[in-house]
Amino acid sequence: MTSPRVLAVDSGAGHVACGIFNTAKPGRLVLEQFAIEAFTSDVAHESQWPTLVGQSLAAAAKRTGAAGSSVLSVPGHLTLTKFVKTPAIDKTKRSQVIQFEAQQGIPYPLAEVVWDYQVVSDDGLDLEVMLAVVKLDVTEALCEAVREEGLSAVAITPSTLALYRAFKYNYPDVTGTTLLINIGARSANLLFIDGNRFFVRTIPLAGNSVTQIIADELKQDFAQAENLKLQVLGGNSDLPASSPARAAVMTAANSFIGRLHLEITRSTVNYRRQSGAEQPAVIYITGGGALLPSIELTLAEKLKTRVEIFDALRNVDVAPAAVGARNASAQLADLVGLAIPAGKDEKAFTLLPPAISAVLAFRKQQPFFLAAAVLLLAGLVLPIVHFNDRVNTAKKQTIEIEAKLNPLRSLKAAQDADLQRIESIRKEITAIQSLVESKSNWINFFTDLQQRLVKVEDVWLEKLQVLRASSDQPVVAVDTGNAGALSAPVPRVLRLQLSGRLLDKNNPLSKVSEDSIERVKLLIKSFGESQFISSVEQENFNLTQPGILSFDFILVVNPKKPL
Amino acid sequence: MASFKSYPIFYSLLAALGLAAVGSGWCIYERSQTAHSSAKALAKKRLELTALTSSQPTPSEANKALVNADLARSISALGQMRAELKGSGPAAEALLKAKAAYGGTSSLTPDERSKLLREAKVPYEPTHLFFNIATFVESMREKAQAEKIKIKADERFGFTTYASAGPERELIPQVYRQRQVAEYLLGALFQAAPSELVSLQRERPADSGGNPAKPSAPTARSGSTTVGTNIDYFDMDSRITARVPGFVGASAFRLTFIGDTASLRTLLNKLATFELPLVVRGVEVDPIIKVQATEKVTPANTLSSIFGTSPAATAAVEPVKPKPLVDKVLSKFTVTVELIDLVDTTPTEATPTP
Repeated sequence: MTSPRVLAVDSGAGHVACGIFNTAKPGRLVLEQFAIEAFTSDVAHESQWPTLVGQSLAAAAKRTGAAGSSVLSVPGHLTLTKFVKTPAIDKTKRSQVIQFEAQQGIPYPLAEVVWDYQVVSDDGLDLEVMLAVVKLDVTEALCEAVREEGLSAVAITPSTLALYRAFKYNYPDVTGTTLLINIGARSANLLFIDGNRFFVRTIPLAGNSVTQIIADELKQDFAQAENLKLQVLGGNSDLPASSPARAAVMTAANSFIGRLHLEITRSTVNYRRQSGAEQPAVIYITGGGALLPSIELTLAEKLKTRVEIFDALRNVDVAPAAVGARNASAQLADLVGLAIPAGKDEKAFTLLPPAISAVLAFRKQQPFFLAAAVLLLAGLVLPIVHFNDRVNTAKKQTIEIEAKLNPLRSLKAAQDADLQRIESIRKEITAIQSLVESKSNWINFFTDLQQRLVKVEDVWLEKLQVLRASSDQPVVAVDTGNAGALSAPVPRVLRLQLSGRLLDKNNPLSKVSEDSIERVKLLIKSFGESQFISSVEQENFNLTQPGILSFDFILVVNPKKPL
Repeated sequence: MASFKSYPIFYSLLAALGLAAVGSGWCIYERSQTAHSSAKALAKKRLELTALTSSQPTPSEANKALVNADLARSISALGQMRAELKGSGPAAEALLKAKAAYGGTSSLTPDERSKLLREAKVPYEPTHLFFNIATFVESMREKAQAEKIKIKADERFGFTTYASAGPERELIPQVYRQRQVAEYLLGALFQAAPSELVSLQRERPADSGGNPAKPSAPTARSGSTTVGTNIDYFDMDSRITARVPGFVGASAFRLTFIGDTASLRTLLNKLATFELPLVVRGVEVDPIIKVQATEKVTPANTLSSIFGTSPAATAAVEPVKPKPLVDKVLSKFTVTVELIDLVDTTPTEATPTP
């Protein structure tokens, strides 16, 4: 996107014109600010030209408030212009071919110059290009001078090309072959225009030529002669009409016009011979030289062609702040041409030093670098958003689960506490349950024994000995038969050794009788059926005493009814 | 640096973007770590939730109510059991009173302790207990004589150790307690009218540190024949003790007497009233030979005929007094009892959680 504002700086051989242009509406330039500063164009000060440009530009910029990027021009005497014809080639290979032609045609090492080309014509068979070459040190010095004044050069256009663009912009209605002559301080550019084709010839015949003639004639230095020239030709001189100085100036001017006439004729002939173009129907004159009195009339008479003063501001609106530009319009052709951008199909043309071009290219790339960095940053934002989303989702789910967990935890804690207490209570119950159950077992056991002895009759016990089991006998768990009741550890199996006697009343003399046998069997069986007895072991009998049956056996105590 | 000077804004922006990129990188790392830890935390919570919902019993109000009910039932059952093992009666109350009096003095000064124990009317000095025991011995002797129960001339009813001096100060609560229980046991035995008291033995009292008192005489073993052994102490057989560490404490006594089955029955029935929380842990019977067969006639087929002589052997021999088929036999009974002392387990006294 191109900014509509253009700061054009026409750095001529003897002046610097500075203009700020804007685009009011498509295709219509507006000169917003304008300033022009003249400096000496003495050849003796050739090496100081960049400095003089810088100083003049500083003054002009100060007046116009110019700052920032600027488009510069280089005068014709510092530009080598060559027209080259090659077979028409594809655009992609055009640069290589023209590079080759430049190497062939430019009489300097390419490393020491800055060059660019402009396609003049391309009819499909032949390609004609204009090569414009400037010494590298000149453009670098110019850019440095501009930079020191707070401006930056974004393009350097040869004055010839600026002149061509100014004509095409201001005189789009002119058809046929036209000659535009820009008479500067050090050189004059002869621009032949035929439709979209053009040809340039720069001749060293310019304002300085007049000054030099005056200086030689009046034996003055260049500056005095220049001053005299400007006063006399500008109508500001107090010299009498018969003054030799005035006469010398007029003579020099007429001589200049005469020589210019010859150069125009010669150039026209050459141009027509080379291009086959017609005789220019009209000649426009611009530049400082166009201010010579009656130059257009004189040339028209000599050339038998219509000669007009070129109006550089013909299609340019001038803002009130730049109203002074009207008075200097003769010197504004290049300035206006600088403000006109290249056509849509035209290649951008610049004679900027490669270093500055690279800087500019880098500046143009900076937004892309920044955009790439921003894109990279944006790319990095995506995973952040992704992970952040995951974090938020996880946190949200965690909160939801936590909301479910909290009541469950408190319930679980309460239940666990209660279960622990139940377990503790059960342990205690287990510990004392057997005590509760067995606290009356001995008396109950004796009552049970008594009932069984009564059933058998005439039987008694004499000894009861508790046989303790060994301490390593395992403790066994016992099903109490009571659903839900707590299982208590059961004491080790207890055995009771019983000794007793049975009286055989019916057979007092018999050591053993059926009756006593049956009764003792009944007794053993009865003991076995007791809830306190699980079995009867090791039954021993003593039959030595008549009428008495001594017995001795072991009762195994039921672990479920411990004593 | 030169490039930065040429394009300060561009390079500043680039640096800012670079910093932002670094920050973003760090942020990605931090967020990824946070996401990872959040996912782990979430998985942990899910696991916890799964574990909770699949745990048995599942945490729920209904199950909580069931557990509460179960706890209440357990507490109630335990309370009933403890009540059954507490004993009821003046003797039990006297035991509890003395225990409470001794137990409540641990944090008091000696003077305060003495005052409190004096008010509780329990001995708190060795001399007090010595005279208390001496009085007890004399009282039991008189009762035995009144009941015509044969005792040894120097019988001290298990307190021979303290014939001339009281126990050590630390042992006073235990010894006094044993004295109280001995009095109850002898009273019960004398009511059962045995013919002879052979001995009353007790477990060696432990000091406050749980260490048994210094033995002053050999100790009889439970279950062993100790006829004629005039010693105070015996060791309770660990296989029959009711002690359960942490829940049930016990203090054992062993009564050895000679009599018939009726005496044993009366004694056991008395103990079964549970006026004191005494649990019979063993009964052994040995016959005593050479007793007149004509002394006492017992109705046939009664409990008293479990041990001793069949009545048929002594019936209808009065006129000629022929030699009976079976001699009248008394038995020596050894009854081992334990005084149950339930350990106070405070948590079980609590109510279910709300």
